[in-house]
Amino acid sequence: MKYICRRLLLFVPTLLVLSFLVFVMLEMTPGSAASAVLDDASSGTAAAALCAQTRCDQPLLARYAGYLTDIVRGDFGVSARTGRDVGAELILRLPHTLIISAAAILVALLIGGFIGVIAAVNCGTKLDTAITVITSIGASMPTFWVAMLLVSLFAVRLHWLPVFGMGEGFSHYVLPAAAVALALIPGLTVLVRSSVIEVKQQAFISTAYGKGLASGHVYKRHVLPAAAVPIVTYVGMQSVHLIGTLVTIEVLFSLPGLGGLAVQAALDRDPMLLQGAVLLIATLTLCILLIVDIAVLLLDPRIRRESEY
Amino acid sequence: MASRILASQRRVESIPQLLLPPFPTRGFSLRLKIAAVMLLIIGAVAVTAPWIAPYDPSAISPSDRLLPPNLDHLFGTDMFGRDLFSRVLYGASPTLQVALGAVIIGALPGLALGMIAGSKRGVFDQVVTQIADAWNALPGVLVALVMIAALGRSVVVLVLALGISSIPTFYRMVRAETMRVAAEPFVEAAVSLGACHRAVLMRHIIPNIAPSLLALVTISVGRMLLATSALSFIGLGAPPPSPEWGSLLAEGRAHMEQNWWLIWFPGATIAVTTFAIYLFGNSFRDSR
Repeated sequence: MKYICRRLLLFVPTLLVLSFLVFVMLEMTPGSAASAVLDDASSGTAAAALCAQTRCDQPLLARYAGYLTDIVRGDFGVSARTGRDVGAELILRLPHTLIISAAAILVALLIGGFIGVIAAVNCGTKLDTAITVITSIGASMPTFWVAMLLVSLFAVRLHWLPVFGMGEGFSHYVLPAAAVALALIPGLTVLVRSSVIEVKQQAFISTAYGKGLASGHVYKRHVLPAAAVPIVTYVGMQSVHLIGTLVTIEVLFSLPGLGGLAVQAALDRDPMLLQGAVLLIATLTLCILLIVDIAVLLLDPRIRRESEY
Repeated sequence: MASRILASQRRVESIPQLLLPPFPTRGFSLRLKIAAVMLLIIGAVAVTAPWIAPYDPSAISPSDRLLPPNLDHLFGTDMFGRDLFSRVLYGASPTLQVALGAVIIGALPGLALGMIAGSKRGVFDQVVTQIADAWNALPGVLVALVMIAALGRSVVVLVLALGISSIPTFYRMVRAETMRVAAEPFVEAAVSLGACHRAVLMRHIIPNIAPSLLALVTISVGRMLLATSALSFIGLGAPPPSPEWGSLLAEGRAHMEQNWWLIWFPGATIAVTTFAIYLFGNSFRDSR
């Protein structure tokens, strides 16, 4: 409980520090797209309006404080390139990113967990070796390459799924989610395998077998819950890398998601948009990490007891 | 006399792995041999590319556009008629340089901070660990995006961004390992015998964390390789016509439906190189 309170208390300062760092970096943008939009013949009022919006006549900390107060009111600023409200853009794009990442994590957990358990049950056999080799080969393949191969197979050759973009229905999410899941599966499989092997060697498992419980029951009620803790932690940590993978996949499939937005903003030198996107992504990541830590505390009573010292 | 025996015993106990190779000396494991050979080949290719490449990688030849692999062009040609094989060969060096540079930038501070935090504990440890946790929440891609928006698109920015965002990973691992070794009895013995902090670090802690550290560094090179090729693919890497492998994939993407070789060969090269690096690193870890 103390641990959870401490984590919750640290959440906001961490976010503040991150946003300040991003803010400072973007202040260094030399001549952003904003000034490119205003041409030389523009009147003084346009320049003055831009200056008022970005508070260019105030010191750094005052600008940052102003930015924070704006965010609290829901105003993320205006995109320098398109002039649209940043907050609205972010909300438009958020669902796509969330759907893909949630689907990918679920699929990866299911498939990776299944294969990992099989590998652990058959530990030491040829099947186990084969699975290990295949997962290490899979871990070395770049995600976007696998995605392109998937596209060329399923979309171009077989015409089962759309090549890129958005549209009606879920078919546009399938390939991107599959690509991201394929990036997660090797690491997850290895982790599940080693975690289950470790749990299987513990005393309480042999007790369960000794009591005469069926093998399936032992796995379901004793092995898997105990093995779940490192897996949950791993998923939390991977969510950080997941964002990186998502960015690539979104650009590849031209999906209107947060990652693609951030890349576009970076290449266009659009500070407000980039700031908003990065802030949102960082917040999501911190939330996931917090949820994972709390889940771990809830899952394993041993950790709960240990944490209260 | 007694102190000399004690000292030599201490030495043997505490530098078991730095001088001895970190794998069983009865025979190099097969995995390690295969990985080492692959890495040597790739490294040699990266260095000698200007001499062994059959064509100039930037030589545009409109009459030879989009040829499939044949005897003249082992990997085929791209949409400008440039030989893909030469481009892949030339691309080894910049790609590997970025990956290695990023790992060095991330590993050195992470190592130093991790060892200090792990052995000294206290306020420094708590503060830096909190900062590292916060820093860990920012994906490397985002850091790269922000830095590129601020500083422009270049190889240096890429290396810096990836390196800086990987510092917490090294820090955390080195700190955990240092804490583990610091709890060993021989460290306690050294301290009670009067060893100063620096001596404890140099003579006891570093040699004992070296194997897992080497494994982590090696595997990080592999991860950085994948990350840099991903960033080049998005368009944040070295500007064209740099034959970095990620850029090759980006270039080939537009024409990939009819011309499979444009993405198969560069992608397979990335995969094979990363696989060799992982194999090499894993054989360290498993043979402690």
